[in-house]
Amino acid sequence: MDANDVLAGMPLRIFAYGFALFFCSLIAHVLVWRHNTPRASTLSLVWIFLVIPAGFFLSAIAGFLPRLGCLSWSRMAILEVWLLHFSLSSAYLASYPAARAVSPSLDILLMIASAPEQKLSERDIEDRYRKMRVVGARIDDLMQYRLIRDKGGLFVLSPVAQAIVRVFILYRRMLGLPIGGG
Amino acid sequence: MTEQVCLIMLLLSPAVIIPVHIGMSRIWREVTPQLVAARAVGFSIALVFVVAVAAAVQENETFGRVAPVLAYCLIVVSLIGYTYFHFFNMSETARRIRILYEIHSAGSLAPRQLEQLYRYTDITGARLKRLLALKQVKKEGDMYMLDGKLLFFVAVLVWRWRKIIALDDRTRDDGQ
Repeated sequence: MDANDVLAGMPLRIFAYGFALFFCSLIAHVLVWRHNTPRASTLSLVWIFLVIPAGFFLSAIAGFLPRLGCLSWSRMAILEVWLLHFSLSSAYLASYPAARAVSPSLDILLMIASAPEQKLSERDIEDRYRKMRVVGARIDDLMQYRLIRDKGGLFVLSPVAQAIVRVFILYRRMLGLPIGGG
Repeated sequence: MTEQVCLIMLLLSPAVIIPVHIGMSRIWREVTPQLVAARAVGFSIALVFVVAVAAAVQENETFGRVAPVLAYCLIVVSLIGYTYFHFFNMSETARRIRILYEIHSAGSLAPRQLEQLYRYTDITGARLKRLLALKQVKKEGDMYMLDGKLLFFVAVLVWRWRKIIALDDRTRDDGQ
């Protein structure tokens, strides 16, 4: 394939395939979630949006899959489709925690909007949070992902969790910021 | 050639955003961290896009040929920037990261100590302060009211998406 052909004709097909693959992952996600939300939901999302499609793209690049139109493309074109799919998927994965929890900041806005006179005091907002298992639910979650474990009634970090914390400490130090307030 | 330059810039874009963010974060110490991160992301997107345009100009590409490549470049770099902003925000606000950090600092913690470290006033106070700084709420007396519409619009979209993927109220306090 001539390089000029790639430049002239491919990008629109790259958009089409990149978005189509992302929507395939999104539909799979909606179907699985509507059937039964997985307990390890973030890990399941990583499989649906990143791992399975990455396997597909690697197979396409290696030429293992039968020709399905796009598979006769150059490796660069396949890389471009993958990058579009990957960036769309990453953006969705980054947004998912907010949907899963209704992030407190967004939740506060909804609370204010649904209040009788569309105004609330800080005390009213705090009272609502007191009713939620804000910390307990996250501890359960961290234990489920084996990031923390119970050692004689005390929580300790797993080696993976130690590595995650060190990465965040280093990152925040590079930015010249203290660890976030949570 | 423009396409290759675009692809290389896109693959390198996280390596552009992080140093830009580090520099800006150290210069604008008095500005809200989220606003600094947003500025760093915006600047990096512009930088990657300008390099792609410069490559197109250098190659004397026609607009018809180069427009889809530049559009692709802009979409992908914006999505990467958006993802990076969320990564930063996670380091700033995520409760799970904070819990891990507290256990890391102490070596080990009892469940009760962890609950005590995490006061509800911290959770709501920090967020209300941020929403005020971002002009998404305003304060009259001791009452908070909606101000900007952007985050409220996002909140409504998120709430609707929760309905589509059938996340019920049991998982409301189970995230970030």
